Amino acid sequence: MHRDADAKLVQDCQNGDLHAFEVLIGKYERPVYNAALRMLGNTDDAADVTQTAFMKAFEKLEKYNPEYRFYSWIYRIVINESIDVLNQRKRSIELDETRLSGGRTPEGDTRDSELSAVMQEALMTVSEDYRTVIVLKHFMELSYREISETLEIPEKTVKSRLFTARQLLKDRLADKGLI
Amino acid sequence: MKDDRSIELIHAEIDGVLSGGEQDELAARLDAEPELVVLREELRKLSQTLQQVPSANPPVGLRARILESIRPRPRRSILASLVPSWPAPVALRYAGAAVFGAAVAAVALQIGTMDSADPADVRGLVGTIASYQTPGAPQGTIILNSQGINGSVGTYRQNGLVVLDFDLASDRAMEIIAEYRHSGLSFSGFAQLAGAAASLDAGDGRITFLPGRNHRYAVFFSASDQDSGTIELRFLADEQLVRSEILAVPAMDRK
Repeated sequence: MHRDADAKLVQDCQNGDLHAFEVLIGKYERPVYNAALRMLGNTDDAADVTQTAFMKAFEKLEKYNPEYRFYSWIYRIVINESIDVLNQRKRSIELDETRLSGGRTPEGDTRDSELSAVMQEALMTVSEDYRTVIVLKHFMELSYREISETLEIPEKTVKSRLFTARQLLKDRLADKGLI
Repeated sequence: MKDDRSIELIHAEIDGVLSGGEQDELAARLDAEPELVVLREELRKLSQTLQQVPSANPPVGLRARILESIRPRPRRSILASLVPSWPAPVALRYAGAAVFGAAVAAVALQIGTMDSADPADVRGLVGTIASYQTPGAPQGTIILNSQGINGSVGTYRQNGLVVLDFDLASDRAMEIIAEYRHSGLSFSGFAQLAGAAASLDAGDGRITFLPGRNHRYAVFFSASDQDSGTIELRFLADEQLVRSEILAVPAMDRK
């Protein structure tokens, strides 16, 4: 149902129905934003990347392959965009200290802020490949197969990365006394 | 011993994909190896902790921003007015064109007016030419939506011209440097379609212009050979680099 509903919306959009894309935005704005946020650790960058991801999806809608799930596609775009931003940060010769230190970190003003901040700090210490599978598995709640489809890598690689990522994250959080 | 199979089974259990037979296998392994029990407990705690991390609310107004960015806008194409083979624009507004180079000058004459300018001096050359037709999709597009720069840079190519179409808004004044490494490209013209007046410097392999905060400009290159190359765009604010992008320029196709 989920897949069919998305496929119909994409088809409507390809036929020029802009409202159909608005529905898709409404449906995926939050998960896409959260994926970006966990990849980047900064709310401003996450908002920018979310916007860019939807813009690119809209622009490339004609090339969208209906064999794939829409959310796999949009997640792939947001992950790739996030990695681009991370690479730009590395390349940047004029680093903005507030951005580097996380700027406005996720949920900075809520009661869950400590857990969220410690988790984000730990996530940022693992490589992008490992962070990506953690984000897709635990925050986007994708299956091995869906992660494999999203990242266009074999399921075996997904498992291998996920197991290593969990081990690393577990050790980081243990160091911080969170688990 | 924490062998690969045992570890795989523990992760599979956490992910809820363990079959009945595998569950029995894991139980046997856990009975035989106390270390595995510890690992399983640690990974379970990790999974539970990850589950407790709250989902964040997108910032207020983000959806409106996204919708605004995809909303169809009347694209004012300079290409439609400058390249003779494309359909004539529906409407033309002209406010002091200052383009030069054979191809561009010919079109400028076609639309009936052109300020004279010394071809050797391109400083301060600014023009506004607009129509409301877009002749086709850009061959390449860079989307910019970070570090205070929003919009896109599109690449068009037709009739021996390569055009970079800048449709950008920035939160401060911006300097844009275009360095091109392509033996077949030479600077051919510059036009301003919207926004405050800009100034321009052009030299071999490098163009620099100073637009305002909201602007739509196009930079024209004559393209004279079959080589491919790149154009590096650098965006500077307060003389500091805030963004750089590489545009690929494929070999020219004169069809």
